[in-house]
Amino acid sequence: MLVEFDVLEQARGGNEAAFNAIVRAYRKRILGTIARLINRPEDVEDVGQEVFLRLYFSLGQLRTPEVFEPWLYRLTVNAAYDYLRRQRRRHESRMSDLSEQQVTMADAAAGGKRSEDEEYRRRVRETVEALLGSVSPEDRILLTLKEVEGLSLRELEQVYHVSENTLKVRLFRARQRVMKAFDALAKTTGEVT
Amino acid sequence: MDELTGVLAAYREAVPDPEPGESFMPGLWARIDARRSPVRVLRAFAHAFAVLAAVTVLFIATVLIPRLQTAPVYSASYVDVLENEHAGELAEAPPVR
Repeated sequence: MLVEFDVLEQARGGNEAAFNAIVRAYRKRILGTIARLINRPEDVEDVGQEVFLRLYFSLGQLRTPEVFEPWLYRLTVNAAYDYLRRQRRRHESRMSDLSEQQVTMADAAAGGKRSEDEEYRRRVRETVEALLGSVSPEDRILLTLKEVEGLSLRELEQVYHVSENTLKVRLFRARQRVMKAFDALAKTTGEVT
Repeated sequence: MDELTGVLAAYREAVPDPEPGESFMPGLWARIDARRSPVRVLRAFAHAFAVLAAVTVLFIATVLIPRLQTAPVYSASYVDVLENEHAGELAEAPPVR
């Protein structure tokens, strides 16, 4: 826990300073999770504010302070899920959807040489975006929480309110679907990263 | 560790936790206030409705119900009614010795 239980209690009682303390303690971690869940840096703060907005109005429903962190993760997952669904509906043109030539042109237009490290990170981001973009938002979020954020099955149980076996089945299926996209991507590009 | 797991682990490194911008907290409170206003109006309305309901119940219980309650058809016992009916006869009757 990044905050004391009594701070949570004060925030539940409507203490705005206590609520601010919670936001300051968790915002970086939550923004990081959102950044990796949605992979759109320009929208991370907006989704992050939505998470804490939901937290503010639902803090009174928190039964015990012990479940606060899984509960905050659940709010994060729900906000990211809503965002990804909206994005899907919009069918926006993304960098990962563009041809290699368009990406090269966009890079050139952006100017400036990238370092090797930055180039590697960009390729990883685009690869993962291509992989996770090919599956449903549910699969994407579940896999990201498990494989990228490193949440344990026990923690995921608390976030999703389902049994460990159900989670294992869902994770297995999500992995299968991403593996299929991974193989297809590997065939088209020769190598993935 | 398979290749997919490796890529996803590398993704964690490629996208570090971003530093929140200076406008994060003011923006958050602006959104909270924007949503709080309708909630406050709704809460005030609910409070007014509750007070009105309580006053109405009190009015009905203390004023309307007593007024609407009709007098019972028989307010006296059978013996009392007989006594009233035959009050004259009883007065004229000679005392029993």
